[in-house]
Amino acid sequence: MTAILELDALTMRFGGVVAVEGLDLAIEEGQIFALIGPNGAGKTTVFNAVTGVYEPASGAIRFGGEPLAGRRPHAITRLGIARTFQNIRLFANMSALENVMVGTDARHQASVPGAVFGSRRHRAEERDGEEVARELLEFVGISRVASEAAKNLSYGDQRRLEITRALATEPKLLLLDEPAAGMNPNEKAALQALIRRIRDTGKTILLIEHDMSVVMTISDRIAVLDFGKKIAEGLPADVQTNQAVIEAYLGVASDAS
Amino acid sequence: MNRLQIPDVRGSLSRSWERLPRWGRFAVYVLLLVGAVLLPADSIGRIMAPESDWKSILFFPIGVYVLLAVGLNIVVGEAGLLDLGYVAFFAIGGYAMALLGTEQGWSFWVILPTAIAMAAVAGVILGAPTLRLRGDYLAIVTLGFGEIIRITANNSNWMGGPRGIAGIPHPPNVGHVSQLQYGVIDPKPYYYLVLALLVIVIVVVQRLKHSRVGRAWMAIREDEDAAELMGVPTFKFKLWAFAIGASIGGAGGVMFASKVIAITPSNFPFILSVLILAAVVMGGSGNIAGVILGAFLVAWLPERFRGFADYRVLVFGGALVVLMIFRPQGLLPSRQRAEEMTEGQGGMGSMGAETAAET
Ligand SMILES: Nc1ncnc2c1ncn2[C@@H]1O[C@H](COP(=O)(O)OP(=O)(O)OP(=O)(O)O)[C@@H](O)[C@H]1O
Ligand SMILES: [Mg+2]
Repeated sequence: MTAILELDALTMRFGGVVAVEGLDLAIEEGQIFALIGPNGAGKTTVFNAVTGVYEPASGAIRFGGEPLAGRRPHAITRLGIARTFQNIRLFANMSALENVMVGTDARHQASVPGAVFGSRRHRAEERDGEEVARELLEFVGISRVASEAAKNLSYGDQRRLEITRALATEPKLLLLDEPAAGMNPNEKAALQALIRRIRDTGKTILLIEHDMSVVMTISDRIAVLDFGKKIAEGLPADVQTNQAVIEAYLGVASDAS
Repeated sequence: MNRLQIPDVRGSLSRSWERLPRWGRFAVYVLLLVGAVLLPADSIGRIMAPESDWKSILFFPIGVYVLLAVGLNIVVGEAGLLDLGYVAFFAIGGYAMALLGTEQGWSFWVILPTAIAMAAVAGVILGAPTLRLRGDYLAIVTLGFGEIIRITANNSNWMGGPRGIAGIPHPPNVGHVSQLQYGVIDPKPYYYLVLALLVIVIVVVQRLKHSRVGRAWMAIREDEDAAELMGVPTFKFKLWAFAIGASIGGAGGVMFASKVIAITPSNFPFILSVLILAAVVMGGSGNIAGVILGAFLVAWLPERFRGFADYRVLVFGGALVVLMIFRPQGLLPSRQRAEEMTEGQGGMGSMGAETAAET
């Protein structure tokens, strides 16, 4: 088995706050890997480090064996990592279809000259981009809202649109930050099925989720963060019964350094 | 006309526009163009500008302002970058026409592409260091740049100092068609020239808008960090927006200088940047029809109501207040818009470490 994403002693600081400390993580290809932990544990910060939003204070991140240090976020996306956001960050006034097409554009080349002179590549990319975007909206199950402005979508649809937009960039690794937040039980069930279907298309998934029933049903492997440190990692069944994890979630004074 | 600024009306207008079939839109374009060609007619002038020379104001300020507004709209309306020094590029075009025309004896048709390139390069030189900064800084730096160009002109002998440059050549005549004889008396040929350029610019802009480039601009305007994370090379496309906007400003400057014979630094005041910006915002940033309307009003109203010239600034202030009421979202930076949106969804998760990167 090969690890598609490796974190090596990753440390992230914000001023005096150590948000992530010495984190080692190896996500294997084709897995659904869940990153869990109490509020403020540093989960989203890990996503931000992997996607190039922040420079790590120390440590290394490797994707497919390549170090990511010093790359701009859009370049990391092109390498094959896409994400969704804990607080939805769609392009509010663009239609759902346009949101997804921004994603497909990540794989396109045409720039100003191509668009102005209507180059063949530009026209082909426009056609393919729209086609792929519509297929993905269909795949995720929100094609009926394709021409609605993103801000007018229901909450669940906005979450699904974020996933669609991320998929449109053709990622090998998909990072989902609390995708089930705010969803009702039916939507959650559909989301679990969707995540599995995405994995079955050959993608690897790193998932942050607070809903334990979702996490325990779909994860192949789980890592638990508390105060920026990994306190446990393993199969769902093992993590569930781990004493340190139970204490962290019950708020029993863990060694807060 | 005020009603056009109310978002809902604009929305339903653009929705019915989107429902029009291709030929329908084409027909509208043709009608508009015919209208623009007939615009200099005396009968129209008597209504539109009884107190001034209608044909002359059709070229300047109206035609030139519309061109400038369409250019600035790419920067402000499409990409959401606040440029407070747009007049700088207009000045670069004007001085390029004046200097290359008088000193080098170049023809208008050689100077036009040269000046467009020079303005684009200036845009890149200004944009490369500043477009990495956040909105407020960009506004300040561009504002400074606008002033620097004017003050440099004022203090440089080779740019004519405060007395400016005189004897700027007109464009060469084209055949014997009276509409294309570029002299001192008849302003109509200049109007048609700026109209032709405007048509080209609009075609280019519309093509860009419906492409990967236009989507990238829109995404940057809506949420720059999210755009970058979705694979948009934000810096590159912001720089393109800046360069394209600059080159249109430069073209406007060439047009202007080629008619007026003499230019001075006072032709390029800071207030012109503000006027054009007001035109873009009042008309409805990002919507080209709105922007043209806005620029038309900004240029035409003071001419139409010459008697009230003293109140010009007051009227402007009033218009801006109205604007704040009806389009308060107009110029807010993109991140705030994104936050507005998440607020509306109520109570989800903590703000946590959402990507507040200072990229
Ligand atoms: N940009 C930032 N500036 C300052 N502090 C930050 C920043 N981003 C994150 N932090 C801090 O880092 C710590 C980890 O935050 P993070 O958002 O990663 O937690 P989380 O595990 O995602 O929590 P939640 O479950 O609430 O989303 C918190 O103490 C947070 O306040
Ligand atoms: Mg989080």
